[in-house]
Amino acid sequence: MSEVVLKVRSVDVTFRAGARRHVAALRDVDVDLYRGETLAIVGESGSGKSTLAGAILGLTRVEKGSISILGHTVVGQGARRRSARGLIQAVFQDPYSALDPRWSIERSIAEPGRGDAREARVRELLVRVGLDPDAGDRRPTEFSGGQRQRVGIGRALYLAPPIVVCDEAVSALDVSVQAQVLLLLSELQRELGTSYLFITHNMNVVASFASRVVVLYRGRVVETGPVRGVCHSPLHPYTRMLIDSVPVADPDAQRERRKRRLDQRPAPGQGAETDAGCAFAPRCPLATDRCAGERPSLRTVGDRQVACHYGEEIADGAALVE
Amino acid sequence: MSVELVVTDIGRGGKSAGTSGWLGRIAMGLLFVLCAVAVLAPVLAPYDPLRQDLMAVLQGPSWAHLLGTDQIGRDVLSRLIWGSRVALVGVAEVVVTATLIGGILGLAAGYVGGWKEGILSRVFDIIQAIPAVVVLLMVFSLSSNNNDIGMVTLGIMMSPTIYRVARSAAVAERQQDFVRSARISGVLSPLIALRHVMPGVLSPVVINASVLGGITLGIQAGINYMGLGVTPPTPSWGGMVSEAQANLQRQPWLLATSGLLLALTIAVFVIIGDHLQDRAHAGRRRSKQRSAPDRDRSAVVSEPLPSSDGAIVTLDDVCVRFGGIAVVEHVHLDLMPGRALGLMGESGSGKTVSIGALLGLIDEEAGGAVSGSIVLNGQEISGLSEEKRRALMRGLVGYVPQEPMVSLDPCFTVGRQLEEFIALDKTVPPSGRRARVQELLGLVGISEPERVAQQYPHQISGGMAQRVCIAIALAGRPDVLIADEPTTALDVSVQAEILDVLRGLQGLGLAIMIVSHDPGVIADLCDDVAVMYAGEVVELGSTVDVLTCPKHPYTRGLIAANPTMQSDGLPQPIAGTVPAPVDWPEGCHFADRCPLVMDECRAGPVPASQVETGRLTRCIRVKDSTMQEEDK
Repeated sequence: MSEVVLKVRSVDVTFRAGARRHVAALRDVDVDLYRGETLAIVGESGSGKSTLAGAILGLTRVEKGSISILGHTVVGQGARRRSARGLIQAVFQDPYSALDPRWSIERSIAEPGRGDAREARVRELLVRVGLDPDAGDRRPTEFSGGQRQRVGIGRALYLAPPIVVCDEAVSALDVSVQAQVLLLLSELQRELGTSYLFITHNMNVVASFASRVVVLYRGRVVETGPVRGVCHSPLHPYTRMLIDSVPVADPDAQRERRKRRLDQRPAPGQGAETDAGCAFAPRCPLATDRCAGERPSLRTVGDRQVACHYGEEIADGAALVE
Repeated sequence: MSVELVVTDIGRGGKSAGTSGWLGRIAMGLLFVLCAVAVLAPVLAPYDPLRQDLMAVLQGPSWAHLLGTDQIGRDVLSRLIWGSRVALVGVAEVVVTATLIGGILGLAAGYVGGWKEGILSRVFDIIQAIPAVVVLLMVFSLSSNNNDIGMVTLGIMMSPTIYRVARSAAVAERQQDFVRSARISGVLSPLIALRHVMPGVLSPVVINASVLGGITLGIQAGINYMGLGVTPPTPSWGGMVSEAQANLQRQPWLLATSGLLLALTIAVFVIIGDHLQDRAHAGRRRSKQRSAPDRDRSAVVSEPLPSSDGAIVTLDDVCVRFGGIAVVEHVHLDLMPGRALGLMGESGSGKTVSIGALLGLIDEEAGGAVSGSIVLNGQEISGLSEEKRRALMRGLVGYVPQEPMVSLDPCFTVGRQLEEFIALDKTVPPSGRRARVQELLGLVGISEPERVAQQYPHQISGGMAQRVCIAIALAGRPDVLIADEPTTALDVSVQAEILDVLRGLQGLGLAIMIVSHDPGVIADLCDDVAVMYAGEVVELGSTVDVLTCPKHPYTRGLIAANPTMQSDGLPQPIAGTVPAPVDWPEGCHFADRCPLVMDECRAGPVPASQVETGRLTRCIRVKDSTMQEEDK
């Protein structure tokens, strides 16, 4: 396999919630991002996916563990964040907050850089993201949400970083514009070899855009592997639930999915979440006493890793939840 | 979403242009004149302000002394002119001190955050708690009545106001994504604060500094009145008020001169503050305001539409305009009892405005206008008064909002809020309201209604809050439930549960009209679907037909652009973007983005035509388009 550009090891992040309560936002998270690939980080709200982005980008304080970008340690022992400057950039969710409304877009795009050759580079990037190269002196208010997101992508690419973190970068866009931006990101990746860490809650986008997936639940990785496997034959019951919850645009197919999902609802009154056990157990159709008492560790099953006591059985079809 | 924007924009735009614009400009002009007078005092003043003329004391206005003379015969006009120096220099000292200290520290505190912000904020709280007058008296006595030291001290005492404004503006800026992007790029913190955060802090600070100028002038006059700071015989407005008051019985005119000038100048500062604030808002709005081309679309010919017999809700030829700009045109929808109808489209398609017209949410005072016919359960409601309309809708229509958390009042428990709506239902006696709360919460699938009823909105999850909102919508025992993107703000697993709840309610006989951008949600819930694009319904039919065999090029594009789990590779985008209402093409609204466009498409408005029974499409190339699809 090709080179690892981003390495996240055993990262813990804890948030304070009130005076004495602490919330574990990330626990023991390992992530590898390879050169030129798109790695999707998926999960519901509260799963820790945006916290992970914050930790990688240096916006969130990491309690334990290490993060390195192309061999430069940015979190952990001997960390120097500035050594990775220009190696990683981000595109965020809200196109209306992504650009300083008082700045011309040329100034915004060129902000990460230093020195000259600004204008030529900005023009080149504007063309690259599908905008008018003469638009540089205009203000963000003159652009639509989708166009602003393109400007935001241009800004992220100014220093030609090997890694771009897309934190829900297409979630706020209309469907037709979302498809345009996904197409743009994929073309840019093909041309420039950029690696994307693609954070999203939308399994449909993951299936059509990513090459590998990391599924987070309550701050822990529960499943990871190639996108086809994870989306078409998930090993973790949580992944299965996420996929079955997404409605499809075909009414007949959707009726069947719905039926399958409803059949798999856990019996009501299943025990509450325990500290020692699997966090998903209370919502899991396969949960047993073992799940409540013992937390499954992340282990390799085929080409994937899964944190479920029954991962192997699900893979063999013995505990198939069909 | 976009509706509210338009409403407030147009509503406020007219007002600010009308009144405070000229007043603000006059006030700024007056301040400029006052500054010029202060600078040019030696030239302008007709007399030496200290020159006494005991032969002419306490005179009224005359050609020799335009504003009269005081008790020792000094020229009042000259003293006022020289006094403006004292007044303006003092105000400047206070405002500059307060703005520098409060502004810079507020900016820093808001940008840095954390414990440092906490400490700074406490310090300014303490400053504000100290009585300024006591400190000033102390400073004047210790500095042997030095006016400059006194004014700077007053500036420090006034700085907490500016600090608060600057801090909260900086906090808002700090949370913007462009600040995060700059941090990721390694831009140094002081630079980010200077380039991104400061411009956002500047305008509220300047506005408040201007108002502070007015307040300062009053306080300064009070100090001078007490004989502190600037002492007689040096002319100061406050001192002149004091002298005039002593001679009030002998020459009342004297008080009018200094008193009125003082009041006027204070007003000037405050009006300038208001003016700047209006301008700041106007600047934010200007980019959104554009004028609409004059067009007459009243002559659109539509073919006969499917009959509305038996429909519980009918919208017929409904058009909505904001400030003369059409945002929804010729919408026809029928909702049959017990059926679920979806309104599908992207933002700007007019789906939310359409149900806004139905629910009477279009603000007419803000320039909104609805035309066409809206029939609820056989009764025409368009043109009815607000009260009659509400009375008709109560017990017939329930509304489920998009953002459940915003819709619930954080101050009351879930049960309490539900009871309020149950109280409107006269069939439930007061003693039965508790039980009805449990019943309604049970209806929306809440397994522990007793516990949830006692919780406050912040204690429940988003999905639970949406269930509560549905329960509230059901409180009036409606026959129709109208839901605007009810699951968009929720996680997929929660969305699925909410859709289960809605489907369960449909099973109980409720008719549902749901707005959604997600074809999956429509497929899951709806029997029929109306696809909207740029203010028009472009396709209408049963959900199975429309989603599996779309006729209109836009519907087809929308479905192809929607990413799915099954597809390999990327979703297919539609080129371009949804045009804003002012940019709608003369002919087919989709023409600029359509792969099948011909000259005829742009020639004039395209009528909706019935392609099959119960199936409408607004496309003149529908036959070619269908054939092309079959070829594939």
